[in-house]
Amino acid sequence: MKRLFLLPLLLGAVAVQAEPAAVLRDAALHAEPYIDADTITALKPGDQVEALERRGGWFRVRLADGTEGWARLTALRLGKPGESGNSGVGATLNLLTTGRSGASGVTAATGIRGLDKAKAIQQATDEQAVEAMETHAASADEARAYAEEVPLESRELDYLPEHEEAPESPSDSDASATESNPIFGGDW
Amino acid sequence: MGLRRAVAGTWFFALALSANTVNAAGLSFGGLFGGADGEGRTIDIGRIVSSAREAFGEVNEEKERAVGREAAAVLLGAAPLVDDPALQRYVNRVGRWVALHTERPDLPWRFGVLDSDNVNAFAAPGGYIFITRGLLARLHSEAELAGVLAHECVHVLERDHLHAVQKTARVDLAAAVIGSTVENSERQVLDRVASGFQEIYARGLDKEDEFQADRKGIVIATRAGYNPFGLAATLQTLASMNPEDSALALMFQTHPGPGQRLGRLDRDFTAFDPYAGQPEVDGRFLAATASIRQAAERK
Repeated sequence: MKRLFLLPLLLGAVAVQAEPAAVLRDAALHAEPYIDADTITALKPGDQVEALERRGGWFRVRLADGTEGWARLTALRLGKPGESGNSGVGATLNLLTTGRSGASGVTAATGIRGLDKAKAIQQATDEQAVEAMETHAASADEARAYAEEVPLESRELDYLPEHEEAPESPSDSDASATESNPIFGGDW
Repeated sequence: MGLRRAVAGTWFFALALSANTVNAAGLSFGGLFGGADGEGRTIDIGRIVSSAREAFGEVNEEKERAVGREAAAVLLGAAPLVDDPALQRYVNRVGRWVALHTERPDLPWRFGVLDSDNVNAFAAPGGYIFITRGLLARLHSEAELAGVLAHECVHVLERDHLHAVQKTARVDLAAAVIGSTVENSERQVLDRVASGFQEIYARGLDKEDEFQADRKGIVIATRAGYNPFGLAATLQTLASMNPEDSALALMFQTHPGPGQRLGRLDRDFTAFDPYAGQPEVDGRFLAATASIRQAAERK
């Protein structure tokens, strides 16, 4: 396990082992884990930082020059830059934004491993296993009681309205590749 | 009606496209076009199109469930349930609580942990939700699990798989779905549904459906009282894995990249920040999933 979780800390606070991380998009380094907290500096895509602690939607990070602050979880990618074997940072970023690792990633568009193609083609279905699921089912009351143990509190929240502007394009130069899949257009 | 005509036209186009796609990819799915040409018989275009039109009607809940059972049987045929009743029960309790905060709280929601190293999660029509052991072992808290399950719940709420059936030129499958009722559950019809779902799970849903499931899933997990960022944290875990890892192959083939999904969620970040103090619930999650994590570490 790369991330070490210490048992119940503060609500919503999760300790991680100091871990390298890369900045995925333009973002601000905040003094506190709040949107309206002071901005310490700007983070640029590709910046390497160290992730020290997560709290809610924020990571406390340390920059190369030692500066510490809070960055949005959604602006970071955890992991070493070279972790993806032969691909390096560029290819990794490419994969992150396109979901493919290069030409080889595109070929086996319907190939499945594990829950894999070979098995799927056998058309083996397991009706009895579907029946067996019934024995593990939880009733609504049971679920409520289990939530109460935490306790988890229900709250009213509407779905968010649609954004009017188009989504921000990915930060790397290969953005166009995400929009057209030669085999299954738009299916990724 | 203009719309109806346009829709029928789409079907013709999609049929042709689909045939080319399959040839170009060099794939051979037994029964891809189901019973219609399975025996080498001539396809009755008129009959297919009229079935296809019918297939645009709303599928009622009973049919949805019957189709979902068959889709679930496909997944369970590919990977059995983890033989750990306590673990299955845990995921059902969490999942049912999450599902109670959707617009279809009264569906007979069923959750299952599939015994596979693959990192993935699946939904089937009517309220069947699956997560693989490989993904569950990589999560860190119940809030992350709730985020994943909520994402899958959205596919059920939106009937994304049924719409995929209607969109992807599966005329035979669409007809089978229409024909599938509890009383009329002949093996032949269900086999066609099953083969269709094998294809849909291998191919994946529309990428916008996935973004939508992320976006709504976060709301559902937040309604259920969890820290809203569980799903985003899960996407980060995926992003930090070696992308060449074969356990990720299907997930990456059938979903937008995790970085791209995080990017979409980033736009909504401020909306969820006020709920960032909601609990992660890691204690009982780690206890409930200890056995599969230990097994993963031994490997």
